[in-house]
Amino acid sequence: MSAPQAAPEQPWRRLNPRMIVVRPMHDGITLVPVLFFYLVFGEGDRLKIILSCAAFVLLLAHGLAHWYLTTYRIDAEQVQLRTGLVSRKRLSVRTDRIRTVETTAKFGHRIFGLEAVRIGTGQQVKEHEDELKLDAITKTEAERLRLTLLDRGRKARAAPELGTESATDPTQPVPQRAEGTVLASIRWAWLRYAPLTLTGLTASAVIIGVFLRALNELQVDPASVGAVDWAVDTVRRNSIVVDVLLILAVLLVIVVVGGLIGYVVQFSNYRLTREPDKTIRVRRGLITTRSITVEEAKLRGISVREPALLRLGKGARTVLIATGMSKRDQTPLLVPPAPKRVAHDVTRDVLRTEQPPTDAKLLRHPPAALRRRLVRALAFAAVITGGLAIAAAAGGLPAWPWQLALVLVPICLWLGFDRYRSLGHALSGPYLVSRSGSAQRDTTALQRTGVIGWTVRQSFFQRRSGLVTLTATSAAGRGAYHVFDLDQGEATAFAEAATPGLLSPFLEPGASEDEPAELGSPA
Amino acid sequence: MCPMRPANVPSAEHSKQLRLRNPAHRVSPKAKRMWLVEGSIGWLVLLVLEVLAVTLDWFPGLPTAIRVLILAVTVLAAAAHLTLMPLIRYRVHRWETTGEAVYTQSGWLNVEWRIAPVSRIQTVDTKRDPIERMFGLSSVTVTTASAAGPVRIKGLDHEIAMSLADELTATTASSAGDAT
Repeated sequence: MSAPQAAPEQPWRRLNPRMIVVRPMHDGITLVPVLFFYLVFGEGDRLKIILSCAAFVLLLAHGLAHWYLTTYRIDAEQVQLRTGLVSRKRLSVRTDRIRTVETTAKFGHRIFGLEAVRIGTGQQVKEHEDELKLDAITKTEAERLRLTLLDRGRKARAAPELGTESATDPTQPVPQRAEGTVLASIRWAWLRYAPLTLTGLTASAVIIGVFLRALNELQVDPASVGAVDWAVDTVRRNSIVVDVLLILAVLLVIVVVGGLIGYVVQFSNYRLTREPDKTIRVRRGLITTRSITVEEAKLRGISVREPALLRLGKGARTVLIATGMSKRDQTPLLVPPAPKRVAHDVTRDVLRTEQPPTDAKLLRHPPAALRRRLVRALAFAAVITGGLAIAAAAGGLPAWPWQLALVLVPICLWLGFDRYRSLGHALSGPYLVSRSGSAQRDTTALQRTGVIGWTVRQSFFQRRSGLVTLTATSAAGRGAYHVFDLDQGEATAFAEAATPGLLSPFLEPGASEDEPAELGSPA
Repeated sequence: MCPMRPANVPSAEHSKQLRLRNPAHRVSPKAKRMWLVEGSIGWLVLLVLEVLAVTLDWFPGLPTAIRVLILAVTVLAAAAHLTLMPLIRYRVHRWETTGEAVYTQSGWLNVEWRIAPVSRIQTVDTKRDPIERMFGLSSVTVTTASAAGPVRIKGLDHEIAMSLADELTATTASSAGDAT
């Protein structure tokens, strides 16, 4: 089927034949326990055995068909991929549009020495998954593609040592792997942040879910499982206080142990390097290994994220803002949960600035912004408490729920205050910096030249207090970065200072000509 | 690399003197009727549901006084919304283009100003939905590489929309780069 076309020197090639085995392994991994139970404990139920075998055969057939029907071709101008079982797809990416190369090796890939390669362009990938992914080729081939594709993208700069001409010749050895400068790598002391990430909680919820589903598949009553039975029994025998303490202790163990396991699985072998070919590369993973390589020229900034617990422990995770990321992972991880100091230092090193912009001294927002946050916090507490109080008055509820809800008042007020304290913005060299959030505090440094437009929003309530929300739009990362509740005059000055000349034709002096105020009159 | 000090930010006193002005052009006056029709649809659906609820007696226990009250409140709110909203929108909705940028102002209770540099524009489309077609209006949609959504100018006279789109397409084509 794959008749070579115009350029005969580059034939269409298939993915690595080992994928015939690996794909069914990955597709079927979730089915395996169920199939196993069916076969072993199915007690000769013929239908179940036939279904399991059919599923197994189908998986294998799908793997074979997928391998047979997927071909790719790489030449000097473009990377092309033809794939699809039922509806055929033909994807192509021009080499000069390539911004990122991402490689992933799941467990099956690793056993067979393979890697999946995703090629990212500057185009925003739409909802349907039309991204070009070679899943999978050998590790050596993947490494060669990684080096040569990005290099070709920068056709202006010749890099002879990477040998573009040998790029797609599979007989050539890997181009010399000059190791990059290591900007950061895993420190096991960072494990102390693992319990603060709550991955343990989510992971164990998933595990319990899978366990319950498996029991359900096998038509086993959970209560008849010895351990569950014993646990329920223990809980029944103890007093409430002991039970609560017990549950808290169990949760704590889950969070700590799960967090540690999660951290080790995700971030083992973490290594952040600046490669000699002017790319930033992040590698990590214990079982599934990932590597993402981003051209430095496509870097648009860095975001330092502090979810509440991490922030309590003075830690943060750091993500990259660059153009050409996939929709699923718009902001790839740059530094795993680590001390904030590390986050800022890495930011400084990656962005090549003297001072980390994410640690710049930020300007406070006007007191009206605090007022808005306190009013919102109180309104929330009032609605909850009021609702419960009305229900109590109507006789639907006892009095204690609304009395208990009164605790919300100080909590919400504190949250409101903390949200205000987080607000800040500044210009730091070539970066504009904005910080906000309490439950998750994000400090984002966005390259000023990466700003491709501005939005100023003023809600009805903001107008009354002279505030606006300024949004810098960008082709990178989430696409929109907000500075909440600025003074309106300051917002325009800040935007103008960040992108000189862009706003100035649309500015006018003086607060007397007050365009939003005229809107108030008809009401 | 040209590291600048944070002192680069203009001081607050200076900044207070400058603010965004109104963009030069209003949209078509016919847009007022378009917004009226658009706004009416939601209210009509609500009213029909309420009338049905009353006539078919969906809530048997409800006293007549409350039924009348709900209907009256709906009608009053609709009337207020439909008289004020189009008028205010017409005063707010404005647009302007220079060789450098597209500048729009829209909204009524919440107001939004958007500035998109021409050099970052990726596509320029004109579109007419059925209601716009009723009034001979069109909208122009300008997309950039940002995921934050396009800049949209609604309620333009069809001819103006077409020439604006042509003009923008021409200026965009002449600017280099991949707009990211």
